[in-house]
Amino acid sequence: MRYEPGSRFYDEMFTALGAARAHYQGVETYLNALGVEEFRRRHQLLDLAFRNQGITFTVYGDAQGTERTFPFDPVPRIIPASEWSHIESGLTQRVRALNAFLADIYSGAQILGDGVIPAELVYTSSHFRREVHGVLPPGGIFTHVVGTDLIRNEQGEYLVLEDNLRSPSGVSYLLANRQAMTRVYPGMFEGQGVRPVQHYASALLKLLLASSPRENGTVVVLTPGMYNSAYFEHAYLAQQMGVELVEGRDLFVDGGRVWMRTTGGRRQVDVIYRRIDDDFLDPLAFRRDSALGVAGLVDVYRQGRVAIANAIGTGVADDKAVYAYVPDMIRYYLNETPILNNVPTYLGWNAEQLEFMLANAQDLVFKSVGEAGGYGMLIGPAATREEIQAYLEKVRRDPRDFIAQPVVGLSRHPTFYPDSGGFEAAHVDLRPYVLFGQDVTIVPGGLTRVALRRGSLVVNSSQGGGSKDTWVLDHDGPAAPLGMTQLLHGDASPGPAQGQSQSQSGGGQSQTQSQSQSQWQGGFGAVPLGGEVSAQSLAQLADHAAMHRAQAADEAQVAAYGESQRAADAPPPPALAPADSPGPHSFQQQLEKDQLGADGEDR
Amino acid sequence: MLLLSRLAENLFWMGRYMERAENTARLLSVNYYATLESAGSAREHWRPLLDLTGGEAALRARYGRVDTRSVGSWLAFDRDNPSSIASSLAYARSNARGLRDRIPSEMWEAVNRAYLNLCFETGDVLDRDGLFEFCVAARDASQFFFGIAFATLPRDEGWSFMRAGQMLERADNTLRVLQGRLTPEALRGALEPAAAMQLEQRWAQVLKGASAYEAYRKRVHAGIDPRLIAGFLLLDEYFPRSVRYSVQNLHDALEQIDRGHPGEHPGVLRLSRWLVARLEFADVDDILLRRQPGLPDLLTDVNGVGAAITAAYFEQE
Repeated sequence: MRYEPGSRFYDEMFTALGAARAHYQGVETYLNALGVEEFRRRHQLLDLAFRNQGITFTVYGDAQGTERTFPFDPVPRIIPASEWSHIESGLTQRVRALNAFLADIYSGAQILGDGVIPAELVYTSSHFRREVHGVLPPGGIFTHVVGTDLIRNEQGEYLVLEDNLRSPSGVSYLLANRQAMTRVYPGMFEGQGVRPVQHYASALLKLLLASSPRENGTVVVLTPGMYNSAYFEHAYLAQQMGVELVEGRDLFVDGGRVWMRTTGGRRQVDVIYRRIDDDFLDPLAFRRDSALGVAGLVDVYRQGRVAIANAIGTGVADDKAVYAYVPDMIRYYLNETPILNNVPTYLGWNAEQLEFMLANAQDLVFKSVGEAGGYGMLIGPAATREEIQAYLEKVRRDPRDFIAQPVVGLSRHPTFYPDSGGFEAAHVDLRPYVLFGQDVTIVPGGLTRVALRRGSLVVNSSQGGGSKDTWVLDHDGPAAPLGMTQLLHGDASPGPAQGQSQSQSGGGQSQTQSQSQSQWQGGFGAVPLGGEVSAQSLAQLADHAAMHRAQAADEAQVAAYGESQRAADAPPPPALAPADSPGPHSFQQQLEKDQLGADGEDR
Repeated sequence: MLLLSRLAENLFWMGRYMERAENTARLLSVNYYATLESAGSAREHWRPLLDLTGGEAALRARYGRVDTRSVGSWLAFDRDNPSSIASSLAYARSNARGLRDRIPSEMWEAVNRAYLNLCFETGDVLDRDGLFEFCVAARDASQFFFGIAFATLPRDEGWSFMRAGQMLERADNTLRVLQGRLTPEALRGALEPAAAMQLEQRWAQVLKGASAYEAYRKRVHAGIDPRLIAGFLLLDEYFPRSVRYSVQNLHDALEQIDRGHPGEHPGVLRLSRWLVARLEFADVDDILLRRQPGLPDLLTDVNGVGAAITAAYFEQE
C-alpha cells in the first residue's frame, strides 16, 4: 500500500523508517493482496449495511432531526498483547482509585481531611450531589461503566485525556463495527489472533444483576427516548441484554418502590441502567422541569430499594479539575504508582498555575471544567490574539472553571479516503470501556475514533470524526500460525487473578476496603497465585472459576508472553482482566454525541 | 412475560400503519391506472378514495386542483398527508424504532429499508412513470415485514397486539372502501350499456384494491355484481381480507392477550365477540338493505374495539 507516515507524530502502523510494525504485518499483507478497488467496493457495502440497520446517531439542531451513520474506516487499529495488558492494568488501577474516591467523598471525605485534594475543588464541582451524601450503593460500587479516553503522544506513550464516569456512550459502535467488519472483510481476520469483544452485553447484565437489592431483580435500561442522539445504543444494549428499554414515563414511584407500567399492571424495577444525566433523573430532587425522569426516584434510591448505574453523583470525579488529582488518588487509596499518566494539567484554581496559564496561553489548550463535547475550549496555537484576550478575561473572572493543557500531537493511523482512493494518516484516540464490579471486565480494545477531516486533531463525530474497528491481538505479532503461542510457552494453568476482600463497618457509612491483588509473576507457563486470598473471595472465585478459566488461561499466556518481551524494569504485568468491572456512565443528554467525539482534544 | 404499555401501543400501531401503507398502495395503484382508461371527471373518479383518506379539502389547499397527478403525489409521497403511503411507512418505522430492542432486527431492518427507499421520494417518480413500481414496492415492504414477523416474532402478547392492529386496520379499510362505493345508484344498477360497463369496471377495481378479484372470480361465478361483491368482502369466511375474517382474527388476538391476564378487561372481548357474531350470522341483505347492522354501525363498532383496547391496555396505570 502507498502511504506516507510522516515523522512529526507517532504512527500506529508504521515506524519512522516506513516499515509496518510487527503486529500490523498481517493486515498490511491482506490490504496489499486485496487492492484498492476491491477495498473501496467493500467500504461502500459497509456504509449501506450501517444505513439499513439504522446504526445512526441523531444530529441536533438539524431541522429534520436527521439520523446519520457514524463514518467508519475499515483499516483496523491494532493493539498488541503486551501493550494492551499495560493499558488494562492501568485502567483497572485508575477505576479502582476513582471508585474509592467517590465512596470517600460521599461519606467521611478523608482524602479531603488529609489535604490531598482541596475540599473546595470537590464541593464546588457542579456534579457534586449533596442529595446522595451518605448513600452507599450496593457493593460500594459507584462507577459500573467507565469510558476512559486515551491518547498517544508523539513518543507513543498512552496518556489519559479524560475519565467519563457518568454514562459514556459508544460501546455499541464498537460492537457493531466488529460485526460489520467480520462480515465484509472476513479474510482480514484469518489467523490474526484477534480477541473477541461480543461478551460485553452479558458482562454488563451480570454486573447490573449483581447490584440488585432483591434476588433475581428486574433490570431496565432508562433512555431519554428515540430522539436522543445515542438511542441506537440504548436499544442495542437493552436488546442484547434482553431487558426492557424504558422511558421515564414508563416508570413511577409508589409505596417506596419503583414500578413500570405494563399491560398486566405494575411490575417492580430493581436496577436502572440509566442513560440520563443526574440533572434529569428526578424532578423532585434535581431539575424540576425534567420530563425525562421519574418523580421520587432519588428517595427510593436513598432507601436502597433501587440500584442506579452509574450511581448518582459520579460526575464529580470526572470534573476536569478533579481529573488532575487522579494520580494522587491512586497513591492515596491504593498506595501504587500510576501506570497510565495524565496529560499535564494546569488548574486555574491554583494561583501559581493560573499565572503560568495566563502567560503562556498561546501554547496551551484551555478547557472549561464542567463542559464536555469540545464546548468552551480555546486552542491557543490556533486562536487569534483577540480570541485569546477575550477568553482569558473569562478565565480571570472564574479561574476555578478552567484548566489548561499543553497541546498533544495525537498519534496517527492509516485511513482510507474514498475521495483520493488512497491511504492517508489521520489522528486517532481510543476509548476503552471498563465494567467495574466485584470483578473488572474490559472488552479488549475499545472505540477508536479518527479525525477524518484532513489535518484535524478533532475526532469528535460532530466535527467530521469517524471510528475504526479496534483489534487486540493475543500476541505481539507478527501473527503466528494457530497454536504457536502454546507450543512456545507451554500450557498455562489458569487460576484466579484477583482476590478481593471487603469489610464493611458502621452501617455502610464507613468502609474500608482491603484489596489484595495477585498478579501473574511467572514467566513461561508458570502462573503462581500470589497475595492473600480471603475465604470470602475464594468462595466468590469458586463461583466464577469455571467461567473465567478459559479466559484466564488465555490471558495468562498473553501476560507471560508480554512479560517475556519486556525489559526487567518494565511495569509489572497486568492483573488478569477481571471478568466484570464496573465503570461509570456519564450520560449527557444533549452532549452525548459530543462526548462520543473526543471532547476535548481539539487543539 | 411482561410488556410495557407503551410498547404494546407501539406494536399495535406498527401493525396498523404497515397495513395501512399496503392498503393505500393497492388502492392508489388500482385507481391510478384505471383512470387512464376511463372517461368522466378525474374528481368524480377519485372522490371515494379521497373520502377514505380524509377528504379532498387538504389536497385542494395544497395543490389547488384535483387531478390524477396531484392525487398521486398526495396519496403516495406527501408527508403532509398523514394518510399517504410515505407517512404511514414513516409512522410505522417510528413505532418500530421505539421497539428496536423488542422486535427481531430483521423486522426493524425491513421497515427501516422501506423508509429509506420510499419516504424521500418526490414528484420525480410520477415524471418517470414510476408510480406503479412505487406502489408495488410499498406493498411488498408491508408483506415482507409481516412475513418476517410471521416467521420470527415470538407469539407472545407483543405479537397479539401487532396482529390486533393489523386486523383492525384491515377490517376498517375494507368497510370504508365499501361504504364509499355502495351508493344507492350503485346498487340499483345502470341501464345504459356504457354506464353499466363503467360501473362494472369500478367494481372490478374495488375487488382488485383488496386483492380479491381472483378469489372472488373463483368463488362467485355470477359475475361482477355489487351485491355479491359486497357480500364477499364483508362476509366470506375464508377470504383473508374480508371483514368477517379480519374481525375473527382480531378477536382471536384479543383472546390471546386476555389469556395473559384473564378476565381483567371483559369489555374488550365482549365488543369484539359481538362484532364477530353479527358478521357470522348476518346476511348481506341485512347489512345493505335492512341495515341491521348497517355499514356505519359496523365501522363504529370496529373503532369501538380500538378505543376499548387503548383504554384497557395502553392507558392504565
